[in-house]
Amino acid sequence: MISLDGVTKQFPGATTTAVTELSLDVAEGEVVVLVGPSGCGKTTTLKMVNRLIEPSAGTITVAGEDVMTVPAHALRRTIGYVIQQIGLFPHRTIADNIATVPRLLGWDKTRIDDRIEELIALVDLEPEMRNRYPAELSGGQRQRVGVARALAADPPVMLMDEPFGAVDPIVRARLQDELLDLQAGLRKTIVLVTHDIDEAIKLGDRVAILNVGGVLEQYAPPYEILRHPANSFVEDFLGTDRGLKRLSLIRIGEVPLERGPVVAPDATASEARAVMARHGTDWIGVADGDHLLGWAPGESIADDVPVGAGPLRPFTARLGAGDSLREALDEIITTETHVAPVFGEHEQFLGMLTTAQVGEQISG
Amino acid sequence: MPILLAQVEDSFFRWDWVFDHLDDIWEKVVEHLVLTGIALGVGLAISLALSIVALRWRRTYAPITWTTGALYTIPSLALFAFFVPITGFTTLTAEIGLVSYTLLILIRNIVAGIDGVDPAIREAALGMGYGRRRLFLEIELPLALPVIIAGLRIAAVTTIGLVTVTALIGQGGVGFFILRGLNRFFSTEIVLGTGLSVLLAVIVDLALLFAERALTPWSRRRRIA
Repeated sequence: MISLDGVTKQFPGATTTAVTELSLDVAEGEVVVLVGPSGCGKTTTLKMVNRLIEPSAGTITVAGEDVMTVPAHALRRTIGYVIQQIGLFPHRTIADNIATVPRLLGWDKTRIDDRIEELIALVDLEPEMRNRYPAELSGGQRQRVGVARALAADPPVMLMDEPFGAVDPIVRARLQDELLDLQAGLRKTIVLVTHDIDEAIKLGDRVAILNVGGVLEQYAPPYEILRHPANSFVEDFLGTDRGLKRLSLIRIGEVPLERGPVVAPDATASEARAVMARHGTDWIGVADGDHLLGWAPGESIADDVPVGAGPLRPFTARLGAGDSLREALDEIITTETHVAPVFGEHEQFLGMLTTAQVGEQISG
Repeated sequence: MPILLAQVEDSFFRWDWVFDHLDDIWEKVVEHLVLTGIALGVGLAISLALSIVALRWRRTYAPITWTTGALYTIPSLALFAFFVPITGFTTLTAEIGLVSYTLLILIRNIVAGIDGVDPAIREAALGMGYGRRRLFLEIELPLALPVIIAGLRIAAVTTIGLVTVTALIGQGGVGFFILRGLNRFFSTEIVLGTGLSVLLAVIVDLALLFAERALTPWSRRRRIA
């Protein structure tokens, strides 16, 4: 969908090139994240796609067409563009901001109105936001409007320059999740720039790691990069917690679960102790079929009553198949039982994860 | 009652004279406003054109401010007198001077206002496919409006004061009363002319302030936390 071929950019007066002989293909419907340290030319590369910056050498094609053969303004109206500072027009209402590109394209009024309504719903804004001004919105709401505005004319390609850089970490995580949800439905071709490797791993179908001067060090899916960094630069850039980062890419549903040290409520004390011994734990879980009731410490098990009749402590976490192993590991190391129980959609107990199982995924 | 009569004639401000001359006064007030309006209108048009040039070709900004700054320093009396041999005792002569004095203030404010537009807004607009002209008319100019109107207010107040000086070349609006009062040693006319000039300046300044509020509703709406 987007193809860069031997693209070089040298700014006037600069002694070195900002981007050097960069070749990169982005497939239709794919999210590609450009990531690297400052000075790596990631933003320059992005801006060459919609010609806010023009390349010194090489060719860039979008949907098979050389961008230099299309008038810049016409090209840009077919490419969604989101920047960190958002750049909403402060003198225009939210509705008018969203209507920007449709108006430039000369859509009629009813079509624009319908589209605004659709987009406000799509990015989860309240309908009454329509007539507010940007200054009346929170940072997260403004960012949503920025995305809605970029999507307004339904462009096949979206360019996003540090789109979540200006919001706090909690809002950022939510906006990232929303983008992934949106993308699952829209299948746009997205090129996103960030300096945050975690964001790159979370959002990218493929990640391009750039070095200073716009040199492409590695271009691969996130798990591939984490598992086999191409060189020491990539390794350093990924940081020392590469293993943990890989865990964030694996869903719990992809891993075989164990039932764990769990007995039925009518089990006797000696049956429970046997299960504990087999699993090497000092606690016993109690489940009635697929209904996990809780757990009891080994020393509190009374000899004369069934385990289920004694006092039980609850498992607090509610992890599901869609959560990542990184979240499971966090659960494992912060709870007394050192396991992460996993539940299905209807709260049914599916099994447990232990450090040993998680560790297998990192080494495997 | 000769004594009382003398008192009336000598009094600093004679309301009865004012009431006897309401028609004249109204005519001069209108003339004053017309002279001011033309000066501001033409000044704004020329300033916009020169500002566009200065913004498009940055190197021209220094010579433009230098030239308009030089115009601004010429004493008004001399400027009006200079053009009388060429254009006579006409409105045109008055307006040449009045317009000249608005240029520096207006150009500076227009350029500063447009320069003050957040670069991210400009980048977003260009990135979505705005052309230069639409960017200027639909984004930059409206956002610069508060600064431009601030300049217009200063220019308006300055011009209203200067219009009185054009009384010397047969124009002058309410300045006509000041000049005639000086010639006749009649304080009522001097006070009336001065007072009306000040009043007009205050009214026009407030009118522009309200115009700015009406034209920029976005600038006062803030997020309610």
